[in-house]
Amino acid sequence: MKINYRQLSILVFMSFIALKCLALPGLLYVESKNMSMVVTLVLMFVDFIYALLIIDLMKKSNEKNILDFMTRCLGPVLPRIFMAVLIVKYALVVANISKGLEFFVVENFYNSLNWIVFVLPLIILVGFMLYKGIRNIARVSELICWAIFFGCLYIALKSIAGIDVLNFLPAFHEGALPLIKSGYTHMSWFGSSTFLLMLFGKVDFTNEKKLQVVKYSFLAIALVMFVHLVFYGLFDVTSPTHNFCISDISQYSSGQSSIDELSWLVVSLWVTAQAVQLALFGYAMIQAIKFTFNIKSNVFPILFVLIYIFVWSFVGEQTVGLERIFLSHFSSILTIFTAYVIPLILYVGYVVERGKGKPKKKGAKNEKVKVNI
Amino acid sequence: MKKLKSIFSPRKIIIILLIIVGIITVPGLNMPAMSETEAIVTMLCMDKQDENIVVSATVLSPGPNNVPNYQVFTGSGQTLSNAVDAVSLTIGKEMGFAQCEVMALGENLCDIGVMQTLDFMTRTKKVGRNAYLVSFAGDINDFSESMSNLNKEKSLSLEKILKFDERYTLIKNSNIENFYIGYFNDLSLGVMPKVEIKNTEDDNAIEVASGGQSAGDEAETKSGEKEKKYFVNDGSISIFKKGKRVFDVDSKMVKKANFFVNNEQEGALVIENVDDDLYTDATVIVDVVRKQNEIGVRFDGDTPVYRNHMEIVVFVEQVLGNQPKENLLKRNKDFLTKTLLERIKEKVQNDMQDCIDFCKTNKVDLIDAYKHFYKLTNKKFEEYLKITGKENYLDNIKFEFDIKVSNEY
Repeated sequence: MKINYRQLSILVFMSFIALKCLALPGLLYVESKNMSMVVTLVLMFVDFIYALLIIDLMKKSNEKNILDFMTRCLGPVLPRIFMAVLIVKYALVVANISKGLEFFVVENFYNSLNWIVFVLPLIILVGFMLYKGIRNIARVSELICWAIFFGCLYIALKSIAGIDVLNFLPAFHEGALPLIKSGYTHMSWFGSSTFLLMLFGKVDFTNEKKLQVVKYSFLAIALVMFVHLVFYGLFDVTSPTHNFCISDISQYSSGQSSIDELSWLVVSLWVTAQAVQLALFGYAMIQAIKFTFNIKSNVFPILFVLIYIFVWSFVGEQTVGLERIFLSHFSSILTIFTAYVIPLILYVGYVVERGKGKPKKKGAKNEKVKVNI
Repeated sequence: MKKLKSIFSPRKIIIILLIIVGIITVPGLNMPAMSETEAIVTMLCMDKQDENIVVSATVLSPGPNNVPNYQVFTGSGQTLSNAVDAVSLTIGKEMGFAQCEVMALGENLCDIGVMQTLDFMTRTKKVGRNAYLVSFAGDINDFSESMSNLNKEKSLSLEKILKFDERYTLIKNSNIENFYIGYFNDLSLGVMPKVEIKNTEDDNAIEVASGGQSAGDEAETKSGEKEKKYFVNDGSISIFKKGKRVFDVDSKMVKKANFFVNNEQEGALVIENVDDDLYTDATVIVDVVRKQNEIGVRFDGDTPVYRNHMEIVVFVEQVLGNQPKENLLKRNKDFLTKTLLERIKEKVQNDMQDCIDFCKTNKVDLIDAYKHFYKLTNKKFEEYLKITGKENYLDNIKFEFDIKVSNEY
C-alpha cells in the first residue's frame, strides 16, 4: 500500500511541527535566551534541506525499500549497521513523544490521571495504526493536518496582543556560541526527516505536484516560528518554566474564565496529532527492526514497539529525570549521525554508484568490451 | 499474517475496544462524583498570623438549579502545606486548585516574601499561572468572607474587578505569570494590585457584610450593634523587590505612572483656574478617551535620554464655576480652547514629572526605563550602569516629554 505525494508532504509537515511546540522552546531558552528562535529556524531549515534530499533519493531509486537501496550504494555491511543505529534513533523519538504526550495529558487535563488509563488506550490506538500501516497514518494525518494548522494559528493569534517585542532585544547579545551549544544540546528534538528513510518504495510519485513538499515544509516552519514568536514574546525570562508551549500560550490571559473552549479543543487535537506521530516513528522503528534482523512478519516488531512504549511510559513514570537522556551528548550525536550524516553518505554513495553504472563515452575500454560481447 | 488478520478483524477490534471502554467506564460510573471528593477552590487567601500561615479557601459547590454556592473555609498550620491540609481535613475533601481564579496575599505574608508561596502553589498545587494576584490589607477571615458576600449579595467578583483594573488602571497585568516575569528580570521588581477591607466607610468603598456565617448575615459586636465592613479598591498597588513588599503606591501616583504605559486608561483630568475668552476662573474636567504612548531611548553623549511621545484624545466633560449661558450653546469641540489645551499639557507633564521624581526618590522603576535602555541601547547602558549601579541609574537620565492633546479621534 503506497501513499501519494500529497500525503508524503503532509507527513513531512506533521513531523516538522510534532516535537517543536511543547517543551522545546522553554528548554532552548536556558542557553540561547531571546535568540532561541534563531536556533529553531536554522535547524528546521537544515531538516527541510535533508527532507528534500531524501525525497530526491526516494524518487531516483527504483528499489522496493531502503535496505536494497543502501546495499546497492554502500555494499552489504554498512546498511545493517546504519539500520541498527536508526532503530536507536527512532526509539529515542518514540520515547520523547510518548513521554511528552503523557506529561502533557497529565499536566493539562487531569493531574490525578491513572497512568494505565492513559497508556492502555494509547497503546491500542498506536498498535492499530501500526497494524494498518503507513497509509492509515498518512490518512489520519491528512484529516487533522489543517485543523492543527489553523488551531495553532488561532491560539497564537489570540495571544499576540500580549507580546512585548522588546523581549527579542538585544539581538545576539552573547554572540553565536550559546546558540550553537543550545542547538547541539537539543538536537534530539530535530532531525524530523529521518522517518522518510523508511518510506523508500512506499510513495507513489505519479501524481506529484511541483513544490508540494516545499510548500508544506515552509508552512510548518512558518507555523512553528510564529508559535515560538508568541511564546517568547509573552513569557520572556519565565520561558524555561513552561513545558507546554502550545497550551501555555492559550492560558496566558489573566483569569481561568478567559480560556475558551476552542483553545482546549485545539489542545486536545494536538494530543491526537502527537499520537499519530508516535505511530509514524513507531512505523519507522518497525521497518528498521525488520531490515536489521531480516524479519518478514510485522507481528513481532509491532509487539516490540508497543511493549517499548509501555515500558518507557512505566519507567518514565517511576523515574524522575529520565528525560535527561534527550539532552545528552549521546542523543545529539545520534541525531546528527542519523539525520544528517547517513542521508549524506547515501547521497554520495548513490552519485558514485550512478557514475560507475553510466555508459562511458565512445572509444572507452568498457564499451569496446561490450561490443565484443 | 493471515492468522493475525483473523484476530484483528474489524468486528473483533470493536469488541475489544468496547471491552476496554467497559473496563474503564463501568468502575468509573460506580465511583462518587468528583465534587464529592475534591473541593473546587475559586479563590485562595493566605496570610501570616503570629507564627502560623493561615489559608482561607473559597469553595464552589454546585447548588440547586445550577446556582453556584460559595463557602469559605479556613485552616492554619506552621507551613503553607500544613494549612492547606488543615482545610482539607475540615471539609473532608482534597483541595482542587485548578479553577482557582484569584490568589490574595495578606500584608504580613507579602512583607516576609511571597515567592516560596507562589512556587508551592503553582508547582505543587497546580494553581494556574494566569490566576490573578492581589495583596490585601486587613484580617484574612474578614477579607475572604467579604469577598464571598460581595459575590452573593452584589453579584460582583474580585476576579472581574481585577480584570477591569488590568485594562484601565494597573500599570502591569496582575496575574502570577507577570509577577514571575518581574521577579526574574534584572531588577527583580514585582507589582501587585492592593485591595483593602476597612471598618470605616470611605469614598469608593463598597459595603460588604462580614464575619457572618451565611449570606447577608452581619457579625454582631459586643455592644450588640451589627458590624459593617467596606471593600476598597482604589487602584493602589504594592511594590515588591526580590519577592518582598517594600512599599505601597497610592492610586494618585499609579494614575500618573499610567501616562508611561499603553493601556486603555480612561480617566478624568481636573484642570483648575482656567481663564480665557471662554472660561472664567473655571474648573474644567476633561475625560481622557484615548492615549497612545511611544517610548524612545537614546544616548546623547554619555547622557541617557528617555523620551515619551504621547498623544491623548480628550473630551471636555464638565465645567464647574459660573460660566456665561452662551457657553451652553457651543459645540463640543469649541470647549477645548488653546488655553485649556496648554493647561492639559502642563498638567500631564507635571504628573509625569511627579512620577519620575517619585521613582527616583523611592528607587523604583515604575516606567520601565531600565528595560527600554537595556534592550535598545544595550552596550552603552551597561557601561552607564557600571558608573551608576542598578540602584541609582534613574538619577542621571534626562526625561523628555512630547505631549500632543487633541479632541480628534
